[in-house]
Amino acid sequence: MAVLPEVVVTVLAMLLLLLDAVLPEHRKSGLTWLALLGFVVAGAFNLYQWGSPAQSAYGGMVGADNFTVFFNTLFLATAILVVLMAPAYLRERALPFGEFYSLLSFAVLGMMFTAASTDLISLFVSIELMVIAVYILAGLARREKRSNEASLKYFLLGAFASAILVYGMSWLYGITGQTNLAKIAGVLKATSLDNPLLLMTIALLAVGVGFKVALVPFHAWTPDAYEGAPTPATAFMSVGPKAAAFAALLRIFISAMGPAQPDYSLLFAILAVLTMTLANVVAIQQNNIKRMLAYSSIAHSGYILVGLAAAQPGAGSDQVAGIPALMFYLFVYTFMTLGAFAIVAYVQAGQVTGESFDDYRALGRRAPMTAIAMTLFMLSLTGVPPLAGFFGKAYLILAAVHSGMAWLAVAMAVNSAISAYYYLRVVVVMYMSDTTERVPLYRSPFIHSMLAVASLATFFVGVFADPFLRFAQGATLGF
Amino acid sequence: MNAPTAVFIVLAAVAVVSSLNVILRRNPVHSAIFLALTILCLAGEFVLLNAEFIAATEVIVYAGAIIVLFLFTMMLLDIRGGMRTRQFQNQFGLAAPIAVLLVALLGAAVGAINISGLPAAALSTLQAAQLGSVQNLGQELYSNFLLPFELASLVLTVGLIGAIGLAGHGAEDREEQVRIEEALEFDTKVRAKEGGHLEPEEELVPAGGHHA
Repeated sequence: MAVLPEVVVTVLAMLLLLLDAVLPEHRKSGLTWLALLGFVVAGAFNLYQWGSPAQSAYGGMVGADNFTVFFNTLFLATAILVVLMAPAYLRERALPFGEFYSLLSFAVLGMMFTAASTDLISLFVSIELMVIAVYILAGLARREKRSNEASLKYFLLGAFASAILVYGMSWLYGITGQTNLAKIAGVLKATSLDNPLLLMTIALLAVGVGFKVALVPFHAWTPDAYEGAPTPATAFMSVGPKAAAFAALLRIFISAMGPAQPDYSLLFAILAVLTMTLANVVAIQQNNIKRMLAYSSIAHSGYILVGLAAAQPGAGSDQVAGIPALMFYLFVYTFMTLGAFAIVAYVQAGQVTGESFDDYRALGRRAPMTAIAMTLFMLSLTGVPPLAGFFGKAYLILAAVHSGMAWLAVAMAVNSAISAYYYLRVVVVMYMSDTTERVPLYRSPFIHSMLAVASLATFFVGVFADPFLRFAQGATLGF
Repeated sequence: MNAPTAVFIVLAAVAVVSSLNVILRRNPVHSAIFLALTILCLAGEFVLLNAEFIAATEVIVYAGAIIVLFLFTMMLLDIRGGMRTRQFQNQFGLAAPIAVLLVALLGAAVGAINISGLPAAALSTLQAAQLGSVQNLGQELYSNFLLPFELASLVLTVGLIGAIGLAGHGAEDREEQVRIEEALEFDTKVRAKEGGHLEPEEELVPAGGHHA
């Protein structure tokens, strides 16, 4: 059955909702275990499908191929890590467990179907399922004004972006008369691409998805939404929906509009440079760590987009092709970003905000293991060898050079150097400043195991990059 | 010009004018009524496209249920306060020319191409006549479009969870909100004065050093 992992997550979401309603208050922490179990089972079913021949289901609406399996692995790993990070934070702030987990499951379901979609209709509905759940997650701390603001801003701008996206899809349908992605590619191959309607379609679709992945100049919602949302929700937002939106970008621009690649390659290259440069320059000026990580996440969208600009549809599993580099980077990005946000949540323990750089003073002495993990994530985000972030960036730079866009590679290298300033600032604050405070930190086995998994992944995906790169390459064979 | 084209142009013109009114009117009640008019025009366009069922749904669901709900909500709110607030933000001066430019660009793109030569326009009239019938719609919805249909029901479920979850719980919530705001204010003051840390109020296990 092609959609078994998705079915498991659907059942999980419903079950969490139901149990949240009937369980007494003191037993609700059991929901954490249920959510973990559900995502692990879905992950097992998902990995079992790796390598099986690609199949199509529901009249060509979704496809089960290696691409889907790769992204589902990413999404379910994200979900598991977020569930591990959340309980301590949720309990302290009296946020509802059941709603958090079930909305998380619905968002993950939307993400899984987004990556699996092979038709514009199912793609759009899946994206909506994902983002609507995330709007609510952002506003879950409904007693905090910042959370209200985050949710409302994200919702209004997101709804606007969705309208532009679906408008672009309607243009694509108008040009080709098809909603199925493979059939659209067939029509585009057969007709002349020298078509002003096609250029407008590319622009509309790029704006629509650009909002979802937070590309400059469509990024304005990101810092406010990331700052106001409860930290585990922020962690999820910065990884899950972003990866899903990149999956949608690949499905739309490679599967369906691959033949038009020369038309949009330069557009995405310019957007990528704009995104990483502006985000890095603004990130330097931030004093709130969540805002800093928000700008960092925008900058990383720029890096990842390099993969699409350098993509050569049809090149498939070429060693340095853009698409495998993009997917490998998403894989790496997931672990280091989730790890960094988990530490933000960890340091926020017992404080109303706890998001300033000052809160990280002397963390190296107060919590040595946590500080080491944070150092690891910051170095990996900067791109220091031999950590995962370095290889992710190296493959993207190679792909850019290989496709003849050396200037793009240079821009990326320069930006990585700029980003070192604000990432290393966290490390400096942790080890080279003092504080008299004894700020309490959480004692939750969940968050500790999550940090352990994220740090080990950040380290080992870097040291043993090869199997993971082959995983990404195997997932692009469908293109 | 044949009759359907004439009807299309009239409906489209009314729809554009009334949807402009939806955003330009100061009084939200007027906006809602113009929205209803816009939707009625769209329903007319759907009839021209042989999509009678969708036309009827537009009228019943949007013009009927949703607009009436808007109006009910407005009756519960103080719209006079809303009427005094600014209608346009500072970026209006920049946004308006860009919007005009975008419309011109879209128009130019459409104008530059032979629309009837596009594949979507190549549906024969016979096909088109049956396309929007209830029977056809039902068959498509429960066969080819079953998955998006089911996903849409999940989207509605999520919307419902959100509506219930985000709705406030009255006085209890407001007290908590005040407490958080006071704490935040205190937090900023302490930081500004000492550049140091705030003693945590909550009772938590102090983690002396490491956690592992």
